[in-house]
Amino acid sequence: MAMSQMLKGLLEGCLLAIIDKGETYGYEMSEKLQAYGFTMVSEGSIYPVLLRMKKDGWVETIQKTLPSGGPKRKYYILTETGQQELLAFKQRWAEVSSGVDRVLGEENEDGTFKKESGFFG
Amino acid sequence: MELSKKSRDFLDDLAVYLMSSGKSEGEVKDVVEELKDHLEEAERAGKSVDDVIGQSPKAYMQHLGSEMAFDVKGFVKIVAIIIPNVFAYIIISNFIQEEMTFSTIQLIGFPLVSILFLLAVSQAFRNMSGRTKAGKVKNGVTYMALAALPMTLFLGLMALDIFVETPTIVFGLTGQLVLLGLAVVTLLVFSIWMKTWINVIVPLLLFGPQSALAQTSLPLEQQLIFSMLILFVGMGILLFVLWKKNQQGQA
Repeated sequence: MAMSQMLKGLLEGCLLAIIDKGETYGYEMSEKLQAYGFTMVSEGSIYPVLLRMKKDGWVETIQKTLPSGGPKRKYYILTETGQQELLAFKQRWAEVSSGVDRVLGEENEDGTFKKESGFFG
Repeated sequence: MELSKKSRDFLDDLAVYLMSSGKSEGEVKDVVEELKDHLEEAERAGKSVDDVIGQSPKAYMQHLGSEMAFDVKGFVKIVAIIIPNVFAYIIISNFIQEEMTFSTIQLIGFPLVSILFLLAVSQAFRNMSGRTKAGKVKNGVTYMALAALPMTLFLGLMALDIFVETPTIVFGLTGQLVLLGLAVVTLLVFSIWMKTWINVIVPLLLFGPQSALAQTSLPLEQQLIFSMLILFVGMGILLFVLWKKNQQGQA
């Protein structure tokens, strides 16, 4: 497992958010992730996460035949549990990101101040 | 557009890895299909299988496998198929050799050896599926070890049986005939169920010549040589036919 626990949690939350926007399939999800700039993980790493989300009952899958014919494709939809998990993720993320933002912001100001005082004094 | 050979090989290896890790056949098919769909689109966009999985194939397979449950029902089913079959072979062989006795060691040992062999086979396939093509020699050694394993285990069991006295069941003529009938029915039932003739052809090759030649007045030595010859030639033909069929299936 090359991915850190934190990154895995973020990927999970982002996948929930993408599926919440409407039923979608694997490749489309990975394209959307790339388009949003979530490029820290490989495309294929969404599948183990999707498997787990299905096992935990966060998502359901349906098989659909493509309009162009050919083989069936697996589409994902959010369950009620999945929607609750998405809400919980959004709250956790709001807390974490504002917390981290504040920490980083202060450090930066502090650093600038120190540098200035060093320069002048 | 056709998938590249590298992607196809990866999907094949993935299926072997997951199946030999005891995941359910349906789930494995499902996830392999999904990844095939993904790889087809990715290749159209100019990405390779390495870009998509972003790590070693082995690590990725393990990662996927860790999210799938062990299929207990499937495992029990395989064991339930193998054990009666193993006993069917042993019963027929014993009947021909006119030695219809079973010691406790044999009764416990044969199923145990069968399950051990099954576990070894699945472990070996799991290892081989994660190996790159450079591991050809290693794969060859694995195959040889696998082939030698049941022989060694069965010989060990027989040796143990000779040195350690355990309660033994001896069957009278009626009992022998009933057992023989059960063994033949077992082989037939599984042949029909699995839709394959192998379970009929192999016992015929193994036991047919031996018991037919026993009726002739040929010296025992020649009987053995002939029955061995028929066995090897027959197996050769069988493997050739299966290989041909497999090729046609892929084309």
